[in-house]
Amino acid sequence: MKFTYSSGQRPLDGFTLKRGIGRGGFGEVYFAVSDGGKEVALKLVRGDTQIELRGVAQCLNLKHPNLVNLYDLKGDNQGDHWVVMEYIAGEPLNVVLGRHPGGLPRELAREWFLGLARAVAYLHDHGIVHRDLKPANIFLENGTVKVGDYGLSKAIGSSQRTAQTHSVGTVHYMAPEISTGNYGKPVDTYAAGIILYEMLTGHVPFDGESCGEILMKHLTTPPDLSKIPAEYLPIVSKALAKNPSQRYASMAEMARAVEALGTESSRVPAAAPTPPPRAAAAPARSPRPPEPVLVALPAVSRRAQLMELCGSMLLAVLFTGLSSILWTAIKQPNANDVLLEMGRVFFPTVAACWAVLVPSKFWTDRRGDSWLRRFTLLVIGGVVGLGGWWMDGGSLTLPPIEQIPSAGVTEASYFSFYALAFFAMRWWRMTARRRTHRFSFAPILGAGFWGLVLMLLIRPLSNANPGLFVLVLMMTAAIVQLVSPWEQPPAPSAKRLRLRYA
Amino acid sequence: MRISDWLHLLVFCLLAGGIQASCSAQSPHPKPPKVEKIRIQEKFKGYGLTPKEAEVDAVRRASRWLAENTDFGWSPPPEYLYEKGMVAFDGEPDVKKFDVAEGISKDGTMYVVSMQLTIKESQVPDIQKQAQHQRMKERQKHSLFGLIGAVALIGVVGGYLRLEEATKGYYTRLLRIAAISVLVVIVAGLFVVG
Repeated sequence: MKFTYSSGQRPLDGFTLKRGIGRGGFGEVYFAVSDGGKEVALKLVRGDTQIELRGVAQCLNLKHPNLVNLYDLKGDNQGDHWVVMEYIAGEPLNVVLGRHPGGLPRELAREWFLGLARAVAYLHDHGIVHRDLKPANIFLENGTVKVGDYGLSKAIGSSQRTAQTHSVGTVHYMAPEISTGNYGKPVDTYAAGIILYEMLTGHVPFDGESCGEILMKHLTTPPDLSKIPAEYLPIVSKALAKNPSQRYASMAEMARAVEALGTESSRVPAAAPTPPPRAAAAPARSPRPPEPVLVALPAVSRRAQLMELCGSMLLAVLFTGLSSILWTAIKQPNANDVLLEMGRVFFPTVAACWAVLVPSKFWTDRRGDSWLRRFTLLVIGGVVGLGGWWMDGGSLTLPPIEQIPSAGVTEASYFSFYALAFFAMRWWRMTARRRTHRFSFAPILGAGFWGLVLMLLIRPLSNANPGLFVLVLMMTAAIVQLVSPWEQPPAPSAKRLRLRYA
Repeated sequence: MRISDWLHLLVFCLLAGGIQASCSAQSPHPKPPKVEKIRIQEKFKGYGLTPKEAEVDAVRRASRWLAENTDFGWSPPPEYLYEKGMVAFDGEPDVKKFDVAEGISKDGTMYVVSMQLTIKESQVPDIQKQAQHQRMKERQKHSLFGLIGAVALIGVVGGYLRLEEATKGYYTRLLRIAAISVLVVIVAGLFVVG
């Protein structure tokens, strides 16, 4: 992701850009510092139309504790327009939701929602419709919820609707009446209802493979409210009514309804053993809509992933070094061969750990391509195997032509052993951020089992100690778990709990 | 065929190939030769100011010759050739006068020994094992340098990203310069040491 301007540049007089912090259909956002030392966010408005700029100008003098402050609207020498606004260092709601795939604790969801509702109610009171409410535009800083990106999301409202740019993330929060060109306040009420739904359940009510599919669901499919806690059911149901006139008359009214729920409830499994009472306005549940295909929200940015990967790779080297020392101490080889024996465990294990960690980092959010992953790991494992053969002193000289078939036995054995060991197991699961346990012995035993099976079938014959191969696999299984970041997975639903303990 | 079928086929081929390789390597049962076969037999001459020096020179020549003219890929140290009884000296050292050796010895005379290097077929596996050991050591050394370089690179990248994040871009340029400098120093250090 390349930003137009880099750190240190001063495209806007009086401000020095420090770094790019976000981009979207509207343009780019930079963290910048004014000449006086004030930290601000600068939004470069792309494709500026007078409507957009008027929208921003309208919002410049709004003041509310739950709104990101807009300081000024300025133009640069290139003719571009910049919005100078408050810099929020806190996390956006989508990142928080990414950490809570099963939904936020109810009290937390309530606090987020009330902050959002107050900000939107204030905007509505001043005749402004946000039109692009989504978790990525809601932040928490110093305990205060802040709503941003208002005044700029007017592209949808333009007459040239075909030229609009909207991300899938925005489409998830789009009210049905937008299809008829209706962009009134109920649009925000609907989006707030979707956000409340998402905070309570961990996923949006309507999802799909394409924008069209999601929009169609907004128009026609009733939301699945079975996972909504009973006390929130009437609120979410009313907010998500397809007909705008059946929704809350104002955000303030919706906020009051949520506020009235009080603070007594704490988080419990969403689905109660008995079906929750249906509100009169709740749509009929049959036919039950298909289970949504979840598109995981970007909980961790690419930059953060890269940082984590670097840390994991370094830790893998450290842990492998310690394990190799321990192994060598147990084995007690000849004094001359201590380093050699240590190296025979150390290098292949580091290579195997890195070979698992690197691709797994890119597989955090995708599902359903297990075979592709296995095949990739098979190839990577083969390369690790050839590396192991080279490290074990395999000769690179070409054998005489008459020895060709038998001369390749060792290489083939090394290649096959590691390739199949990498293929046999789902190594990426050991590194998954939301694996069941931070560290489990099951994968280590699994690696040992597969190592032994493969050892019996394709024993790398030239190796003096074939057990090293099994050891390398088991150490890899242990170390990749230890060095991979872990987050507590969501509590299983009540249905799954019942099945598990049945 | 679906992609998963192709993958299954590939795995099957690998497994079959591995088993076949394993079997083919296990099948030959080398019987001990009744008559000890000679793999290598070569004569070398050694020169020195003393008989001992001449002997050592001859063994060194044999060692170099083995590295250059055989597929062992290893130059066995003279001690190894002595220890394994692979070298035999023919008679007493001769004393010869050489024009080229006049600056070396007082009168240009040097001792000359004749030596025969004999490597039997039964000694070859041990040489190959020693050669493999030697290669392992060298490759581990190279890999260690490579790993140190990789760890340094990862550490610098990770450190840069973390510091850049922590300082919110205030010191981006400084951090980049520092990161590049550290990398240059490490790479230079590795070249010097390596």
